[in-house]
Parts: sequence; structure tokens; C-alpha cells
Amino acid sequence: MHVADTAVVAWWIWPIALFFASFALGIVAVLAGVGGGVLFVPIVGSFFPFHLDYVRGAGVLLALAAALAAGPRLLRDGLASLRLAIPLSLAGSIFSMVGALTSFAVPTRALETSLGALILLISLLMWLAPGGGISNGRDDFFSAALGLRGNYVDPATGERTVWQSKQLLPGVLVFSVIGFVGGLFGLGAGWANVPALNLLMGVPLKLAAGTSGLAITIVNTPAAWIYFLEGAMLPIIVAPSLIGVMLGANLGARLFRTMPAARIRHFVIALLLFAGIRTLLKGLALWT
Amino acid sequence: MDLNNQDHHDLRQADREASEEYARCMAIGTAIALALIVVELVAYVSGALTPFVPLRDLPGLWGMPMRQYLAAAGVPAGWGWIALAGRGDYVNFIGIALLASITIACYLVALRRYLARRDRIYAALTAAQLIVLVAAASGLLNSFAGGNP
Repeated sequence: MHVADTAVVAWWIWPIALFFASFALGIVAVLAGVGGGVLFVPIVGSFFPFHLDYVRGAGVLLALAAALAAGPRLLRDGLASLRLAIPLSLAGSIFSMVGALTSFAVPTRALETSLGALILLISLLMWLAPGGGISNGRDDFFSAALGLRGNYVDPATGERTVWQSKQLLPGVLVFSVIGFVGGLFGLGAGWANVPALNLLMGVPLKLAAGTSGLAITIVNTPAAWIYFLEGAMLPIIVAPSLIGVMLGANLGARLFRTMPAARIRHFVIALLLFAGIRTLLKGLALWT
Repeated sequence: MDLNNQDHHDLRQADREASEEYARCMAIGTAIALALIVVELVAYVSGALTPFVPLRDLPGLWGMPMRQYLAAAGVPAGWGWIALAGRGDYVNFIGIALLASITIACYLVALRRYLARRDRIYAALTAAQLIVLVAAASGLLNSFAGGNP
């Protein structure tokens, strides 16, 4: 093996820095109510020396692992619906695979530019996003045929909420687009799944958030395999970031009750804005 | 077509059972995979297992685009990593592969439950999803990325 460049910095500095950065991202991701991938890819891609291919590969796996860790509790508490997730995830997973396969044919600069623009859009959506609970869709034949309705008890309030999904086909279409974007950039999709389930399909916000997490475990799995078998996962990047985010998310969940969530959310929006601008300018070769 | 109240009662019961089994499968798989990833990382960075690509060479490689890295480091893509699974870096792929297989295992559990309940639509959806997942995991689709088998 021939390596052209001589390492200036000791190799172990970067994995350690990555671990601590991922730990911090894990905390703020939970406090701000966003998935880890949407923060990890633009921030690590912008400020670490790793090529975007490996950052995207780690991002897909990280979003998958975080969703898998949270999934069992959500299912047992009735806060995620497997029945609702299955049809949406089938469409999402096919397109996440297409997105992942497409990503390797796109030049890095074009990927960075579009990722930067997407992150800026996400930060804008987060800023403008309503509190949720809006449900103005129409009942539809397909949701009724699949029995997409039910009820759950909110563990925080003890209240029982009855729900019925609406507009399944538009939901499937939106999940396909979200899956493609997630596969293309290695992002989790909570930032888009939750509004799609809540605002479009009329699913209560709490169930929408839980079902979104469950859907990520399904949608991200084929994309993770594509990245993995393509060779876009480096253990020295994947393992420290995965462990860091999981530990950070655990601490974040403990801090959740005491931290001012609104302020954290503003901090995350500012962080995403900065990372989005950085990624965009990097893609445009204006800030390399 | 809509479902009557008895259908819905049966459906809720089937859903509860499927969800419980699915959750159990996910919890066990995730715990094992994450524990493996931690152990494998320690074995890798401590030097307990010699890596295929020396750690000191990584800073010169990880900034390269993926295909350039694979060529420069002489590492395999696809399922070729299995042959190197005893090396410090590639042993980490066991935990990663396990993590990426959890949903497949859980879908098998769900499929069995839906078949037992004769929920044909969900059995078909679950089977279709399994085909997608297994196709991705097979590595056959990676040829469409124009690259590594």
C-alpha cells in the first residue's frame, strides 16, 4: 500500500475529537427533537478532514442505530405504530436505496452544494415549524382498508388519544421523496417524517414522532447496506461517532426535563445555518 | 372496503402481538450489535488485532473519495471484507453488518405473525419489504452504483 500524503496530525486526534463532537451532537439532537444524522452529516462533513462519502455512510448508520435503540420502548408504549410504518417505509426504503445508489454517481462538489442548500432549508423549516397537532386531511379508502387507526395513552399526561390516518397515498409519495433525499445525503429523516405524518396524514404529533423513528429503522436499512457494501464506511469514523451519539443521546434524554428546550432549538437552528452555509460554500469552492 | 368492529378488534390484537415481538427482536439485536461495536473498536485501536490498513496511514487516506481510497489502500468492497474479518479494522464490520440486519430479522418475525393471523395485505407488504432489504444486503444492487460489486 502506498500513501502519498504524510499525516501531519497524529491519527488518534481525529477519532477522539469525533467522539466528543458526536457526544455533543447526541445531546443537542435529543433536546432539539431532531435526529442525529441531520446534524452529524453537515457538521462533521464541514469541520472534519474526512471525505463526504464516509461522513454520509456514518450518518446513515448513526440515524439507524439511534432509531433502533429508541424503537422498542416506543413500540411497547404504543407511541409508534408498526401498522402505519409498514406501507410508508416500503416506499421510503425503495427510494432510500435509489438515493444511496445515485449518490455515488454525483460529483462531491454537487453533493456538497445541494446538501448545503438542503440544510439551510431544514433550518428554515425548523424555525417556521408550527407546534403540531394540525390535522386537516380527508379520510381515504386506503387508510380505512389497511385499518390505519387506533388509540394510545400518552405516558406524560395519562390521556388516551384516538387517531385515524388520512391521505395514505400522498403520504407514500412524500415518504418516497424523503427516503430518496435521506439515502442521497446519509441523513435521518425525522425532520421531514414527523411533519408528513402530522400535517399531511393527520397523525397526532406524539405518535407521528414515534412512528417516524420506527420508519427510520426500516427506511435507512437498505441505504445502510448500499453504503456499507459500496465501501463507504470506515470503522475509525463509524464506531466512535456511533458510540458518541448513543451516549450523548442517553444523557440528552436525562437532561430533557430540565433544559430549556426552546433555547436549545434556537441553538441547533443557528448551528444548522452555519453548517449549511459552510457546506454550500465548500461545494461552490468558495470556502475550502 | 372498510373493516367492521370485530375485524378491528382482531386487528388490534394482532398488531399488539406483532409489535411486542418486533420490539423484543429489535431490543435484543441492537444491544448485541452495539456491544459488539464497542468491543471491536477497542480491539482495533488498542492494537489487539492488527488492522489491514495501519492506523497511522489513515489521515492520508480518509480525505480521499471512496473509490480512490479503496484503490490506494487495496481494500475490498462488497462482501469481500469477510475474508479480512480477523483484522482489527474489518472485525468492526461484523457489528455494523449485525446492526444493519436487525430490521431484516424483525420483519421475518412480523411476517410470521401476519401469516399466522391471515392478514394477507400486511403479509404481502412485509414480504415485499423483506425482498427489498435482502436485495440491498446481497450487494447485487451495488453494481447499479457503477462501482464495486
